[in-house]
Amino acid sequence: MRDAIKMVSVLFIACGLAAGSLAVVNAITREPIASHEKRQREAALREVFPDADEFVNITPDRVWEALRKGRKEGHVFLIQVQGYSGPITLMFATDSDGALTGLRVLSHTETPGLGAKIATAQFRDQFKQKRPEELILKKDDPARGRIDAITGATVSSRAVTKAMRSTLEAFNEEQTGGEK
Amino acid sequence: MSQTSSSSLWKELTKGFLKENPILVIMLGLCATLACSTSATDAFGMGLAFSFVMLGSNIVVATIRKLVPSQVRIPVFITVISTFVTIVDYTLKAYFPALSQSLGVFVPLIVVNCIVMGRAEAFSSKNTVMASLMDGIGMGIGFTVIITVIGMIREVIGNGMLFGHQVMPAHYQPFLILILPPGAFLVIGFLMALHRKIMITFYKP
Repeated sequence: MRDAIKMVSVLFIACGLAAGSLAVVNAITREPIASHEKRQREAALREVFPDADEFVNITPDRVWEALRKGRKEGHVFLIQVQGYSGPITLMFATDSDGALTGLRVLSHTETPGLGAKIATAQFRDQFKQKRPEELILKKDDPARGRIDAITGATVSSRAVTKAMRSTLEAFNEEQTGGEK
Repeated sequence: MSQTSSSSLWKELTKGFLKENPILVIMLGLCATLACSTSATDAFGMGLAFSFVMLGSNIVVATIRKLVPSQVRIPVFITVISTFVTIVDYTLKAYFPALSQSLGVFVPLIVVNCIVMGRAEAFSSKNTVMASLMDGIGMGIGFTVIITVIGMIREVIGNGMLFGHQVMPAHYQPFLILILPPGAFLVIGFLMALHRKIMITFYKP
């Protein structure tokens, strides 16, 4: 009985101290982490749509309207897709004609050196000025596709390309449906 | 082992470099070593994060070793280790976001890295704070140096780069296998063979 009480109290105290010190660390780092995430998101919005000077969130944390001097110039999308080894968070934008203005990979857990190359400018820049119907890998559909997959990372490349196409198609359908 | 003469402390420090290197000899917790050594930068970051946790947990475990009943020592040690890991994780997220993003899930996974638990159980729960401090530093250095070497080899051969800079000529066709999981086993295997050769040649048993 004495032993049991000692075991329980030692464990209790150890966990209490651990929880206390983590609360302190959390209080110190919460501010920098939150502000960093916010800064990162703003920088991402600016990067995928460099011409806009204001972004209005129309669907919370999903879709933004990009404004330039108060005029609507396009839309920014934030989506999460299943990649090769985990979720990939993407941000991309289209101008008023429906052509892509930029793509950014906000987070991913793809294989370093292979799938992780979806975050490189070399892969992302080929999406600029593409239209939704062109967002197919060349190796999947040589006639319509305009996107080069990364060598050794077809699954990651396909996941990104396909998710962007279906998001844009769904969004455009919704828009035209709403205006009728 | 608990005497605190400076020569024995020196021995506790240096044994992690070669004689009891955590990766090449103890070979515990290789998961992080395999996963985070695809580039030299990630490997070095992982090494530093690991060293901090190793050092912190060794000091705390050695400090409280006489207060903790042996039946509950494992849960107490795990609590100590996971506290340090969470501190590292939050600190990286707050002040080194780029590194935190590329190390990803492997920082939280230091909790289950058997080498930290192994040193707590096998060394610091039986030795003085000073000796455990030296053991932690030695293990940390041994781990960081070797994982960084593995990272450099894999990055140069598998990706043509070193610390994120192109070092191989542009027409160099990288051996992709080295940055895939099997590459880690190959590199570790060769390093182990080299390590054996060095030990046999210079430290005859």
